[in-house]
Amino acid sequence: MDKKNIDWILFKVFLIAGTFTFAGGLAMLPVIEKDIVKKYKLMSREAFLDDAIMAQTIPGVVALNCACFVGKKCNGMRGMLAASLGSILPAFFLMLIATILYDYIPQEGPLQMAFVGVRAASVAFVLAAAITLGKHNLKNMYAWCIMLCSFLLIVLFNIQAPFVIVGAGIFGVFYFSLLNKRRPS
Amino acid sequence: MILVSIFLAFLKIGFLGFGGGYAMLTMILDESLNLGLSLSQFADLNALDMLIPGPIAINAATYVGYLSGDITGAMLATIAVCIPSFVLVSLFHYFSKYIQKNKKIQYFMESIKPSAVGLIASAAFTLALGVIFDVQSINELLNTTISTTIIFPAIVFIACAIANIKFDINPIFLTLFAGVIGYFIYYI
Repeated sequence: MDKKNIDWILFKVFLIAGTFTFAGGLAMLPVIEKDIVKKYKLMSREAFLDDAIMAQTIPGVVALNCACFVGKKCNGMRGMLAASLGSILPAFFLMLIATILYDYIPQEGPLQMAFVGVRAASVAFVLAAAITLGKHNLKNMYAWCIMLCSFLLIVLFNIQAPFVIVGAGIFGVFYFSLLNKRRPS
Repeated sequence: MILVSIFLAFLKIGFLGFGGGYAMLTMILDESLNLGLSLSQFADLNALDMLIPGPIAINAATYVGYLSGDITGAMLATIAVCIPSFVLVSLFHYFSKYIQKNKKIQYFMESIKPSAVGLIASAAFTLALGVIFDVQSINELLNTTISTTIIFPAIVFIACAIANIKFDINPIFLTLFAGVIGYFIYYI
């Protein structure tokens, strides 16, 4: 396949995945896998899963990380640029239009009450996201402690969220290193 | 000046943004309050995130950037939150095998995941205080007299939480439904 063609395919796959998947980046990965691996055969399934894991390991937007890793592997710098543009553009333009419209809506009268309802509903979904993620990630006492400490540090002591999560990671490195030194398995 | 603040805020969120979209949203909550958005505006971002496709952090950067710095702000915020991906992927691309086998990085990730849950729970908590009780902190909550204005948002919050968590009802549908109910409640 010639190089220009690969760039175009990468752009298209990530653009379509970005336009038609709601609820964030993680939901896009299976859609992207289907196109990249099965339909266009740009890389093996193992190579893609490798990239998907890496995309979640490094910080930043998961879907974009994935686009960068996949693009880079398929066609170097150019592929990376094509894939990442595909994954950014739909979210940016659709959200920009939505925000401009939202800014125009007068928040008074019955519409103000409508907003009260919408906001209260959206808070419920943040809670739902915490519970769904918790079901996967809170499987032992250690995980529960980390979760509770992170929560309390932010809510009671107003510590900034980025420092809490990075702090938790660094704590984990020391904790498990010490634990494994004491009890070599 | 505000444009520089927007750019730096989202660059920081990108580089420290471990734990996926909702964890990053918690970080964006902090920064958007610093940039002058209200808690209600942030709650509306949540609702729009649900209705508009795409990665949560990019949607959020566009929204916060636009409200605090117009279209230039929206573009700068989006570019800033994306820069870390380009830098880090270019750096780590060659070490991917090593990173996946490295014990220390596994320990790091093992602790990041539960911490992300705590982060998201804290965002839910802060938002619930603001949206339902109209207060910013726990201290403020203890000092306010509870009025009847909390009844409607409190019921919507509990109903949506149960409908979504227990019965897995689509959040887009629930969001729109809550809006319609609110619209008619005004006339009662």
